[in-house]
Amino acid sequence: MAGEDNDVMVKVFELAQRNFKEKKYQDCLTLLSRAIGYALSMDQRSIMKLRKSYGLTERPSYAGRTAKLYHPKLVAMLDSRAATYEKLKKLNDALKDGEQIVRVEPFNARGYIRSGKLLQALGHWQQASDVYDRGISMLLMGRDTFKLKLNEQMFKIMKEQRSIVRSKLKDIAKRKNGRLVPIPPLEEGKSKRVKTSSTKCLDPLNFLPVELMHRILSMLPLRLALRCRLISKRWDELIPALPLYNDIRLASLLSFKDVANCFKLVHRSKEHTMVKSVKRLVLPSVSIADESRIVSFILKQGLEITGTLDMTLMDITMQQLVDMLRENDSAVKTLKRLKLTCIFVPKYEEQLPFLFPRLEYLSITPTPTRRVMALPKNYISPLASFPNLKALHIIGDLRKKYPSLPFECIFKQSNSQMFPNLQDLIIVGYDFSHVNSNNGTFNFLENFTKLRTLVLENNKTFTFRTLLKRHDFLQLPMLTKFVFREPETRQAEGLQLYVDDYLFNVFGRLQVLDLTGSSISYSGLIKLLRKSRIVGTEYFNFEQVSALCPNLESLYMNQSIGLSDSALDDFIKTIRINNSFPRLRLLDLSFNNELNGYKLLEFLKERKMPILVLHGAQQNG
Amino acid sequence: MSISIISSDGEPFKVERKVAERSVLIKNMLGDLGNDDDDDDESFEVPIPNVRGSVLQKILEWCEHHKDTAFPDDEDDDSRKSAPVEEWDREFLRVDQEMLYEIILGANYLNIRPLLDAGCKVVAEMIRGKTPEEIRRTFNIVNDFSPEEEAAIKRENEWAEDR
Repeated sequence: MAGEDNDVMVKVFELAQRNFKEKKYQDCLTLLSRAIGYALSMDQRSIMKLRKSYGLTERPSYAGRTAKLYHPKLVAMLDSRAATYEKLKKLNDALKDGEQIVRVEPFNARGYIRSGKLLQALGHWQQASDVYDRGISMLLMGRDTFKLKLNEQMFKIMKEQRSIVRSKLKDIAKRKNGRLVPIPPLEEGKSKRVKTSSTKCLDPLNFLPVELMHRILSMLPLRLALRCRLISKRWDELIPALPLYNDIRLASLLSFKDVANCFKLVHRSKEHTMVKSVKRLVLPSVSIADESRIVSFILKQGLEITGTLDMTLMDITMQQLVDMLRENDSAVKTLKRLKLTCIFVPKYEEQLPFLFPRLEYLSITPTPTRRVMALPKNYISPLASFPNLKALHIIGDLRKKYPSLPFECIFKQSNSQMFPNLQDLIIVGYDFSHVNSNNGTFNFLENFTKLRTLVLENNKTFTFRTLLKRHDFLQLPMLTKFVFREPETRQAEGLQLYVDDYLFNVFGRLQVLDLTGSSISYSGLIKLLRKSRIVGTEYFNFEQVSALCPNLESLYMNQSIGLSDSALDDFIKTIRINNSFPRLRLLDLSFNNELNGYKLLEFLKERKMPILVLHGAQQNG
Repeated sequence: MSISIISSDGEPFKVERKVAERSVLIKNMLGDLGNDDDDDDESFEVPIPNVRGSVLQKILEWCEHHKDTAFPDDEDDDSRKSAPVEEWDREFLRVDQEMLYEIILGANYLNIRPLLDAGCKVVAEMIRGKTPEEIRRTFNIVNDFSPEEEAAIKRENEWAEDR
């Protein structure tokens, strides 16, 4: 196929050259643009073959293994088109072709001479001088580093043109000042400094090759890199062609047209690569009227999203989304992370892992909606296992009533093997009464023995006590971060029944413990950690906590009932005597109004704390 | 063993092997020579044909300062891009733009990735937080757009702008 295309292209090019001789410039231009279009659309493999058939090496000696290859005739065609544009008095268009030659073959003098002469014709003397400077140094580098043959004649032309431009520049400077540029003071060192400091502002495009401009612009967020298109026409030509579009974050409330513009650029930048994929796509809520059109447009782009997909949908339901994805599953078959906010339809979330077989991270947040989606009747949860999934985040909002919890089956079944390798489980803002009442055994944590992070926050009808009570043989040997926050602070009745050995199975490796406002806040912990309850004494054994969680690095104890100066005194004592909590780096004591600043100072004298969080505490001292 | 690096204009720079090897290009060239550190009389010349003396001097100053720095060898693009430019490097790269560009070109040619990254970040910082007009002034670029053309690009960029 490539061979035939190439024959056609060569014929078109010949025809164009004949037209040029016959001074039919408009026809010539059309033909050349067609031939150039052919050459640019050819894929890399065909170009390698073609180079061989032209008797060339597979890739030029200076091109790295990943550098893009171009059709061997492309430069000749661009140069012809530049000449044609010149005849048609379209100097700016001609200049663009000249600059493209430089990009395609940076060690070919033709591009520099073409661009330089055009810049001269346009009266941009300084730029023309820069172009010749660069051309001369590039040709020398080509000769010395890559052993390329130096075209002596072209090299001479460049040098001649440069001296013409330089003398022109001097003339201009003379005319501007009405006299010669003042001679710098005698001391050479000083004069150099004056010359170099801050007065020299130079367009990096005149110095740096495309790959380095790409490197610079990729240090910026895509939004800022794109804004650079507004600098000048040369920048505007460069930027859309750079492979910058692997991390696409769309602005919010876009219309369909905006999104279409975005993908036009994405496609343009990927025109010449075989890999049609993006690493990350973030789509915040778009214009509601266009939402389903936009989502299906994105999925139909033929672009694979390989890393993260983050979508916030206000109109599309989970059911509709599952259907759309089913039709275009090639776009997401290698996706690793999915963060989804949409109208939740119970049970349909269970289809998601089937659509994303490689998924490692899944986060589901229901869109606040008045619509209540009913559970499909007679739905049977699929019996499947997704060993790739490592993180599951289910973020709800207690103020909104949702008919059920996503993936409810795994909370109701014991021995569920749906996510056997889960390491990271976050459940926020759900009412567990549904699970609870439906003879749920509640011992779901036994399904996830590999957990490293467990966050249970603001869930209704689910207390720390129920957590421990329902799990007779709970073992979480990998758990390093445990966050348990409850919506209402309660007393931890009966927790003292649990013996240390048991707790050690749960907390043995903890590095982060966050007990904000939960029933195991300060006073809860007292009860939790004392085997026998001594009524009326508020004695907190920090030593015991330290023995239980020897690796603790962060301790959050905000809004802790009963955490007072005397408790802190105990803390100081145990640190001084037993060197407890050797690894503690973060302590959060926010919103503990019984604490006194002086005591805190005393504490900090005993143990320096790299991070101390204090919100809303009474600040005296 | 001492290394003599020769700039494009023929100026030789004598440096320790460790300093020269901050450049992966030179390191690979020396790699074949073996590790004969004892032999002090041995000396190697490395011609660098496209970095001029004053730029090479500057680059070697950087190599000297960082000869014992352990740079993270990670290929993780995101963390490399987000890491700020170290204070010493920032001060070191406070040069006129032409020199800065030449250091970048030289670091790229000599394959000194940490210096290349630092240089690129410094140029990126010249762009960050500026309006296109301010960027033009920074680089002495003439605006060759008509207001209509400018508006058309702005429209095309709409999808990426914060609102």
